[in-house]
Amino acid sequence: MKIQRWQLPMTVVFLCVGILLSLQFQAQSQIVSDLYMQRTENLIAMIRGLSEKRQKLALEIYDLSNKLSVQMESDRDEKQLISNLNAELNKLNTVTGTTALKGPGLTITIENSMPILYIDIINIINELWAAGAEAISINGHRITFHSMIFYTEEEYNMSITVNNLKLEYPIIIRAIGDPNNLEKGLTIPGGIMDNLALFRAYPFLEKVTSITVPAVTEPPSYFFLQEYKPPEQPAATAESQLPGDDYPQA
Amino acid sequence: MSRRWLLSITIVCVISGLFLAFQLKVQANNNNTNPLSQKNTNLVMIIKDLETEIKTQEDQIEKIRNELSNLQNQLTRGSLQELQEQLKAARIAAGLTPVAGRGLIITIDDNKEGLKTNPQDDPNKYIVHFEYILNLVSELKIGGAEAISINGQRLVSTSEIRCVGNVILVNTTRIAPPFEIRVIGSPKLLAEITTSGELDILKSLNYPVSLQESEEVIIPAYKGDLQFNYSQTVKED
Amino acid sequence: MWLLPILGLIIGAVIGSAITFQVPLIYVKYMSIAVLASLDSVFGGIRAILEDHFDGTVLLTGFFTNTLLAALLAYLGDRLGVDLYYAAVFAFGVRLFHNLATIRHALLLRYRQKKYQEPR
Repeated sequence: MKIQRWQLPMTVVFLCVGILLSLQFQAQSQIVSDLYMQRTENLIAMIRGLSEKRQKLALEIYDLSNKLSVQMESDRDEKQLISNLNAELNKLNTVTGTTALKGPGLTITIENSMPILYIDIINIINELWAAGAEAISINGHRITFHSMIFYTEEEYNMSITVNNLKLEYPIIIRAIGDPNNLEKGLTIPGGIMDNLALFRAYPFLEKVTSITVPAVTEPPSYFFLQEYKPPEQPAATAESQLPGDDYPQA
Repeated sequence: MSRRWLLSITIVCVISGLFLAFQLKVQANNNNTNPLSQKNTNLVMIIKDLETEIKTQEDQIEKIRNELSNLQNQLTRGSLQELQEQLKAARIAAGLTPVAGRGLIITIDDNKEGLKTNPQDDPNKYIVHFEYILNLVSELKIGGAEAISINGQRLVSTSEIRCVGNVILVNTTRIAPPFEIRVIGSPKLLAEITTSGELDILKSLNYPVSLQESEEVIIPAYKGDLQFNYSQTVKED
Repeated sequence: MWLLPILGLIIGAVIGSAITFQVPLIYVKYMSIAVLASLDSVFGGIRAILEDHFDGTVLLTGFFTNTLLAALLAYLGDRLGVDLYYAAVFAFGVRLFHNLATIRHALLLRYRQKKYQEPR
């Protein structure tokens, strides 16, 4: 088709107009939403709305902050509670022997050559408890309430046993506690060391800055024992009637 | 002719130029492209400030809400309960609760009769020494005793039996004869071990000894202190 | 025969929307008067076509000079404190409406002529 003479300039012009128009539209749509071009009363209304919102938000922040501090306190309390309970559990575990422990203390070494019987071991252990030992082990066996210290005879060989396991020499007793007190407890005049010396037995005592005492290998199981819940007493006598309350005092 | 025309035109131009320059100078200070914008600029500034402030507030609210929900989720309900159960079991195992079960009640006393009939004799032969009790307790343990008490003193791992002068102390508490030793465990086994053991020895020394089996031996809780200042748990890897 | 110019318009619009160049808000006013001036040139050109005295050079030169001059005048007016912007709006607005009216007349005339020339 033949292009008429007017079409080319017209096209150019239209092109430019197109560009201008679309630019203008873009700018205009921006203007409509631009803050500066809004009417003053609209701006004032916006300010009022925003102020209200700010107030409400401030209230919310105040509320939430309070909730947070209450929560943190109860959380702290709970953390405190848990840490307290954990501390108590650790203490009990020391008694029941379920955890390995380390600390300063005393070691007592008994050689095969020494004339020492199982009864002497029992006495030594008893004295150690009396002297303030916190945890004791014999050759790696943790000594608790349930530990059985005995002996066994095999072809004229007598061995000391702990929990029915033979002890190999040298027998090393490890006790965690104040090393000085422990040593003093054993070496007081007329005490166990003196008694053993009478039989020419001289166990080797050594104060140590750090010993490790292992946990029990098998926790005990109870076949006869059960927790005892005293029956409900009538309100008049609220005192417990457990044995131990009426033994003659020395 | 062209000069007249030129002159008037020039004068007009000069005056216009003056006016133009003057006006431009005045208007240069007044930057009012938009008559409304002066007041609006301030308002817009206020709005922008409010909006920034509100944004900060909203951020803060989000932060606090997150913290709150974190804390609430952290509520270690589960582990607290677990801990309490462990604690309960540990208390029983450590001896801090009263217990009951089948067992024996053993009573040993000073040989008061013997002392009365032999007043000049060494009184040591007629009183119960702590070693007798220690040996008896040791035998009971070998017999699988699950709980032992002597005159109401519960024995725990750290309990000791000793004497100061003629006074026997258990758990650093004075106890006096007669000594009632309660033990929970297999009545038969315990009776067998002790009767052929320490009780036999005591009987041969004329100490009054009595042994009684019971279906329900009640043993009280340990009421002493548990202070551990030297031991620390070993952290196992 | 109007296809090409309209196509040009569309292409121009597309180019314009693709351009991310944002006119600074302060100058938007001058932009709008420039648009008005350019529209006036366009309709002036259309009128010239219908009245058969179209001159491409006139159209092009008029388009660009009017657009620029209008913007310049409005700006100058702001600097002088005289709202020449409104004078320009008035001037171009009147011409625009006048051109539109003339175009309308010419179209009606053509339409009637065609109708008259149709075989009976």
